[in-house]
Amino acid sequence: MNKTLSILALTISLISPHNIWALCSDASYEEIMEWDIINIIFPEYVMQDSENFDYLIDDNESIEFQNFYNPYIPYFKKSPNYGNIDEWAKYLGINQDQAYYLVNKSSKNEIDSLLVFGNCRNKKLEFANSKFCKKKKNALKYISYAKFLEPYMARESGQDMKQWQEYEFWYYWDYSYCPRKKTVHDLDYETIINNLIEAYKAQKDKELKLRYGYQLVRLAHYKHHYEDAVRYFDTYVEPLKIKPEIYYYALSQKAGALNGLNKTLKNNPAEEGNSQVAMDFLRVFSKSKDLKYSAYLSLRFSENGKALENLYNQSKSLNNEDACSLYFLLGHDKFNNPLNELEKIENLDPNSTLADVLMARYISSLKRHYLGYKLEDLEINNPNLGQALKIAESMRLKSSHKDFWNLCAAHLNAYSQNYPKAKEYLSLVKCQRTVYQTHIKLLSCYIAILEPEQFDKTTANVIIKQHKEILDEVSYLRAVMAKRLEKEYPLIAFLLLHETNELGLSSKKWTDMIQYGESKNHNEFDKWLLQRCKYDSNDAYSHLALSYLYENNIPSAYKYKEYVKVDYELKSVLCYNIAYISKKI
Amino acid sequence: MNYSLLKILPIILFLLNSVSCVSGASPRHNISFYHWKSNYQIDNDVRNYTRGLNCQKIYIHLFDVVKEGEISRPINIFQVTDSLKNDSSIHFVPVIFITNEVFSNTDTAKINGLTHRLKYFTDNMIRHSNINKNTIDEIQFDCDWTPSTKENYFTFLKYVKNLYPDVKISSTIRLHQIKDMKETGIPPVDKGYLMCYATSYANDGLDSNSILNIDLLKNYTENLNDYPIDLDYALPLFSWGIVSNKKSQIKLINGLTHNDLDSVRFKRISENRYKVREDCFINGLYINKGYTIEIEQITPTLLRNAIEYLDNKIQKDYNIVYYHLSKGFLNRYTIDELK
Repeated sequence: MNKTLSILALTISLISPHNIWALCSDASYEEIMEWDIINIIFPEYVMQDSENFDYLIDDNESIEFQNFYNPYIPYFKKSPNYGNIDEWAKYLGINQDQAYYLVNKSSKNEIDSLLVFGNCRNKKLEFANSKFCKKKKNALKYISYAKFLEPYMARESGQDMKQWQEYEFWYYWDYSYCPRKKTVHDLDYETIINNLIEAYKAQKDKELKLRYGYQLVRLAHYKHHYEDAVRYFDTYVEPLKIKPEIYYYALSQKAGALNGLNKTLKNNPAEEGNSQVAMDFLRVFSKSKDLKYSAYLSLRFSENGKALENLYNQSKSLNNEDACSLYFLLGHDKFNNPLNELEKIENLDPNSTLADVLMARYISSLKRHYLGYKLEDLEINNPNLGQALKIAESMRLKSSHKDFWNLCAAHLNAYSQNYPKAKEYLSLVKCQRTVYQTHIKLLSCYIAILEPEQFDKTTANVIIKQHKEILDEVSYLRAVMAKRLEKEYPLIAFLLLHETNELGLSSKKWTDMIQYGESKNHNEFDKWLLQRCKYDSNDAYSHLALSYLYENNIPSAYKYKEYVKVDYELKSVLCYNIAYISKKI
Repeated sequence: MNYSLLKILPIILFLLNSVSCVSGASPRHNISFYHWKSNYQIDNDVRNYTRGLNCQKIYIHLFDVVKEGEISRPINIFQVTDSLKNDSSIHFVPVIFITNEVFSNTDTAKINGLTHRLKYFTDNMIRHSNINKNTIDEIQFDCDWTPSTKENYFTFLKYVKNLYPDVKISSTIRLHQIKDMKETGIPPVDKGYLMCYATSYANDGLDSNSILNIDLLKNYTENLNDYPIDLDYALPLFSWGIVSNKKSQIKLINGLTHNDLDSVRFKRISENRYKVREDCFINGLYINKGYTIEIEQITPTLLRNAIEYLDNKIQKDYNIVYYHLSKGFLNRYTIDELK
């Protein structure tokens, strides 16, 4: 008998499409992937201005671009230079997609063909008809020259960077086989500079002049002609007195050049706290759409790593906008308490979107902090929660972003278990945008689950009537509900987050499951749950039979053999074996 | 009294005296230093200091090798300038740090490729630094290998030796690799350097100096004399501040000492612990009010205790390599305190 069972068990394990032992799932609520939390419950897109989404990188310790453009934000930019693309689109009188293609994707040859022939074969450039090409000839000339320069625009990391130190060489045993990247050193520098200056002078249009000026500053910077780069900025960029996005591109290059120049000086002004470099990068951060992250990195590493400190030491002399940017950058670091900087921003400009971003980050991090806690630990151990609450309650009165701050105050009061207050603030959120309405539904459901002192199936039934849709969508909310039910209703708690086939092979669990599933007293909650967890009567009995078999309880397994479906290969073998064994008994 | 005994008594007394002198003498130490900064900035003060210790060797960190995806690449590359050639009296030993990850999930073909690339890179760095290549008689590798990577790391060391047949190949040895030598193995090198520091983790919550704790050092080195390869000994000179925020995260501020923490911004709450009174920068790190800072440093006394322990344990002359050469650290110790 034992030998037969062993063979049977082996047979099952070999032919089963899934390892049946793996069906014994013990996944707990805490182990569930909570993309809901990160992306829906309090995503950054609640804020007013989409451009601020860029700040909200996950890990600002990494120098690499790590998920800088959060892919979960619905309004993420199509390209890293969308600010520049926007301005091209307006300048050329075309839409963003067309501008994006023209500036980023088309080849120099295609642009040259537009210049010479007034058309080109690429259908994506059909919008650039002969009339357009004639009217925008100077712009197309600029774009063509920019495309010529672009492949050479790679900055070497160190002043004495030798080719053999470039890490690409690292992958080749023989230097001569290494495909070398182009750099500015491959250009006829003097000729290019003269060309750019001539083109600049020939332009009447300030915006195009500015773009040529930017190319001058960047080329000189990358060539390590730092003094020239700064001079070109002062001579060709600043006097134009216009500050579109490309101005900040040029300013960023100038700041980089100045930083390089300062390092060559015997007395580096940065070491003495004179922070023009830091000021420039801070200005880029404040105003640029495309370069916020690169400015942030530059602020971390320029001036021998002291840029932020130098700015902080002179923070009282900064204008409000720059000071808010500085405090934002300091508060953005994951190691720091964003609320301290948020308070400073609040005092300067309660309407600053940067304050909104910091609070959103704080609340998002709070939620993630929660995920490992038991329900009783949701009584926050977070010492900053009181501070956050105070700020939110103050800002909802001061800031013009009423909906946002009322929503924050609602969240924070909910986490502080002050549910009446949370509901009160939630009722003040009037914005009809989908994201706000989603938040209202989420938080309302969350409060409904946590507010009652006692929680049973009757409570669950009330909640499901009001919040069925959101409970279907958001597993975190089901997890919270499961926590409230697990002591008295462990099976129901399990089913809130799993399907029935994850019950594993336990006759006790399946017996309980069948008892629950076959009960004649289902309320709306039960019906919802059984449908959600895909309860099927025949399937349940089939699993019960398998469970008994697994537990070496053949007579009990045999009782339910008729439920075992023959369309599963595993179960047909099982049927055969049960029949065979039963004949032997 | 026996006349013969009287005649030889002085000889016996003389021999006994000699033995007692010999057994009472401490082992002698040759002193050298690690240089771990990316720029070689040894000014005259530092140079004179090292001369005072008769330091003739500097172990110079050239680069790290890290793994990114499937590829290993160099980072933290030493800025090669002509300054190294000015120190002709110094014998440089290149040191290359390789992360343990480089040797996980790899094979002999990749290790072979790594070895060749590393040789190419190292040779170029040496050539461009104008160090006389003929003076390089040792190359050191620093890797915190584990039982699961030891085979690959040891293979790498053998391949390197094949490419540098006339050069000694040495490796750092960490305390846990001495204690668990059966599991972690013995690297196939000409010499090992035992790193007598990092006795515990900075965030282990224990109230002891995580850089160097003598009791833990003794525990790790119980079987030191069973280690089958020649060892030199690295000792720490550095200090740091362990900054804790309110979210159970820590950051380290290298080189921080008690003198850096003024009473206006920092309130001393115990012998080595401070509370931050206001948001501020400290040594380039921005910290918030309410955070705590714990200072860990190697006092001359602690250093002396470590050396005395090693003297008693090893009982023969040995070399000490201090980590690391920095004007700031050297200002804390007299020359005698480092001998």
